[in-house]
Amino acid sequence: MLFSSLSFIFIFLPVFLAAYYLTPSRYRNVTLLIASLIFYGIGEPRYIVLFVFSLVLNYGLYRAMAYKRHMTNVKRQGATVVTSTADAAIPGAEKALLAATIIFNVAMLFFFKYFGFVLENVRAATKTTGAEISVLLPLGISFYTFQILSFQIDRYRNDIKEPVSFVEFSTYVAMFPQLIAGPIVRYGEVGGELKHRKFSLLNIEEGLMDFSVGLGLKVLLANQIGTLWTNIAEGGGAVSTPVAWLGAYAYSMQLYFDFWGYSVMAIGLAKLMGFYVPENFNIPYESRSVSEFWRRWHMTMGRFFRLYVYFPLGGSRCSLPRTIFNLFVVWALTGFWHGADWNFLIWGLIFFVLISIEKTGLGKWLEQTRVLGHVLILILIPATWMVFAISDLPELGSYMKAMVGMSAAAAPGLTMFTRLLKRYWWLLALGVFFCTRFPRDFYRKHKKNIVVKAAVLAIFIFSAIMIERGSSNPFLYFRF
Amino acid sequence: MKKLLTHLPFTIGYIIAATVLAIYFGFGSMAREITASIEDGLGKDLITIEKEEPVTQAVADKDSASAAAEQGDSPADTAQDTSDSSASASQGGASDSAAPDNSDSAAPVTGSSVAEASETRGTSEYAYAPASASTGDANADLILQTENAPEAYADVLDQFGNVKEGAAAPAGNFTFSPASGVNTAFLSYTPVPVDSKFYQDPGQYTFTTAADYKTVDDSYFQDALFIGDSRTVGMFDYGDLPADFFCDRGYCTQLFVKEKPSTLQNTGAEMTLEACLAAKQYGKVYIILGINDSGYGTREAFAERYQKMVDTVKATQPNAIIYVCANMYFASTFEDKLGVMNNTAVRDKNFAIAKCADGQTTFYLNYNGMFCNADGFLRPELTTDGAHLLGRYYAMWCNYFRHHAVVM
Repeated sequence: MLFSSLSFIFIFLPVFLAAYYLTPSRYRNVTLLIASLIFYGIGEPRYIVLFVFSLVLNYGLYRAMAYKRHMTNVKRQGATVVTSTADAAIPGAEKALLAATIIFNVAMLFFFKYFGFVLENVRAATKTTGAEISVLLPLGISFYTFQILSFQIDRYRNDIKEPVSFVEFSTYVAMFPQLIAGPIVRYGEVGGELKHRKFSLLNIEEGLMDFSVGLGLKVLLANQIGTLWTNIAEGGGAVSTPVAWLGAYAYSMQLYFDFWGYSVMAIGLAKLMGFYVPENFNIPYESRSVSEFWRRWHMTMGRFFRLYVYFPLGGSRCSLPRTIFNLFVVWALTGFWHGADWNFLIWGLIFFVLISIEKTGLGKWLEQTRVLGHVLILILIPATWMVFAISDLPELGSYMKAMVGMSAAAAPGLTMFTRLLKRYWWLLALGVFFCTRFPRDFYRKHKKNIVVKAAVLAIFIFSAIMIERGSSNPFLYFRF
Repeated sequence: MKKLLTHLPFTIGYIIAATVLAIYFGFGSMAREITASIEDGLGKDLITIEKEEPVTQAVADKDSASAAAEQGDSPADTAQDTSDSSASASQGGASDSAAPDNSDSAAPVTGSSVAEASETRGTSEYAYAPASASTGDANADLILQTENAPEAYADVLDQFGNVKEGAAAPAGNFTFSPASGVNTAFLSYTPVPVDSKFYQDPGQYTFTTAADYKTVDDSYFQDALFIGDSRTVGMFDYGDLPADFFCDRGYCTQLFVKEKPSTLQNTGAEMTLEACLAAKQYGKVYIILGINDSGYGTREAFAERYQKMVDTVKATQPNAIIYVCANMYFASTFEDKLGVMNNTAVRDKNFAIAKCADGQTTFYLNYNGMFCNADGFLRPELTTDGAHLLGRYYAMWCNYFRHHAVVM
């Protein structure tokens, strides 16, 4: 169930909120957990079993590891109340359990997400044929696997000191605002709130406002600009150079408003219940280097790879070749995490190259420049998004050629560009404005203002009407 | 209460707005959204294993045969019939199985075996198909070109949907165009009453006018003009015919009679159709219009306007061959919000258009069989919005015109 669907906005959310607020505060986690499982079940009724199994097994593993640590500490200190201490040596059995935990979760993700892809490529490489096997991807598995891993590793690293109940653990993983597409929350960020959170009217007010703003970003901006991209992508790579760039910018905006809007909705929904979920985007297109872009885009995912892959490998505090290797691993994984296809790997590796180059000091220098860094980002990032967007490699090839001025012979020319521009210019202008910091900062500063509130309410109403009309595309609505 | 209003003005506004909207939208459809999502989820296979088919040129043949064979409830001879006629489309008449049930049932004539076959066909074979790929032998692209009744009427129609010379019309079902000597076939069925002032169920399927169509190269189109709407704009953008394109989003015969301008896409110039026709002499004129007329007046009014356009073209372009072309059907996913844009309405428009063909200088082309499944819907893999082809599939459409050229 999408946040931007009528059934979520008008049935699930009100029913849930009523049930949630009517529940005595000590049982609210249970209400939230049950609602989240229902939420998951509506979208993926068959994989709910897998999801619950994963929760139970991981909680069991957590308890087993915590118990091992506890017993070691007891033995060592002769105390009985200490659950864990920072300096205690970690028993081998616990290490083995952690390894098993990581392997189990990664294996689940791997099987469901990459099995078909690997099989296909192994077959192609060995020139063998056989039955085509495809596995249906369980909803949100990429995200909840990361939250589970982050919990288990944080606990191992002693970042989670207090005992965590099954309901708390499951609520942390399954909480519907972030279950399907993040933000990837660390347990420490919501752990206190899972134990005890305050009920405040302000949370409701701001939560609903944030949700409405996110909905507007998704429905009014992302979906509308998306039609322009769809229009261009239909060409299957046969586009002229200006159209190719127009498409790249349209897609860059669509993706940003879509994902940012989703994250803002998630933050708003969490706020309704008293949780403070971290921001996922920080005006990324204002960056002046690729490294900076990735500190501002999908920040919770970047943080995951930094904390659990890059730093454990040694990060950049080791020899240059080793640092480069570490970057390679991180970006290859980042690429593949986004999808089981070669273009995602290529996309990740492009960032590996770009960021490696920036590591030489170029990045720091670019971030000091006033114009050059911006210009570079506004050329590089849209181009990389095209690698991200087009999975078909020959098609990607011809699109890339078109971007550098070598369009296919039959590519539609300037007339298509001017026609599209004539139709979409105001939407693109609006999109550019929303890529800057001004609307966000204005909203943050003046969200208590009654006029701003009225405007946000209008956004909510307009978005709902747009969803109802089923016309993500105003242009295709009647006349076509 | 006053305290609430000062602290929660947005929340109160939100609750009021949401309540009003929810009542206005209706809970029924939203609840159905949830049940549909669950049903959809339950219906999906978690792991699918598909036996790999050997790659052959006639992918469609295999699929249609096997799909038909899998139809538990369809008689065995239907499966035989389907595979026969599609395997050798040009000799489809050899299939001597009895003509299928000629009862006047309105619904799809051929049953669903072809639908499944066409849905299971890979899409790759269409992508960027070069002209040469679909010439020559009875290739996969052209097999399904007739509208809804190809295999079943194989002894009357050839693979292009043309009525075979000397073929007798099966009693009751085939009629020929009212004008004598016009070889445009119609297939009658009992129409379903429609409560609309804009269209009726015509009770007729329409077929491409029979003629000696040739396969031509691109030079044929150098003096051709396409008049159309956004679908034709797509052909201009993504197709590769070197013709003139007078078309724009929303163009229709209503705008033509109101003398509203459209765009000559090649130059971007806006002008009326009269001005466009006055500027140049064309050897061929393709008219692909009608769908945007959906909300303008009765079916009779549409037929009149369309005929007027044909007459105008004839008067200003005396040497041109005129192709009056079918409107493409919608995909089943297309939402008919206004109740006038559906496939019955399209069939109604096409019936009026087909009647404009005289078989001498005006020919009716119906390529819906190529793009549609047997239920008469645009195949879902060819479109995202249910109404327009994806850019890469315009090549199919262009190729159809290359193979259906009248040379005088």
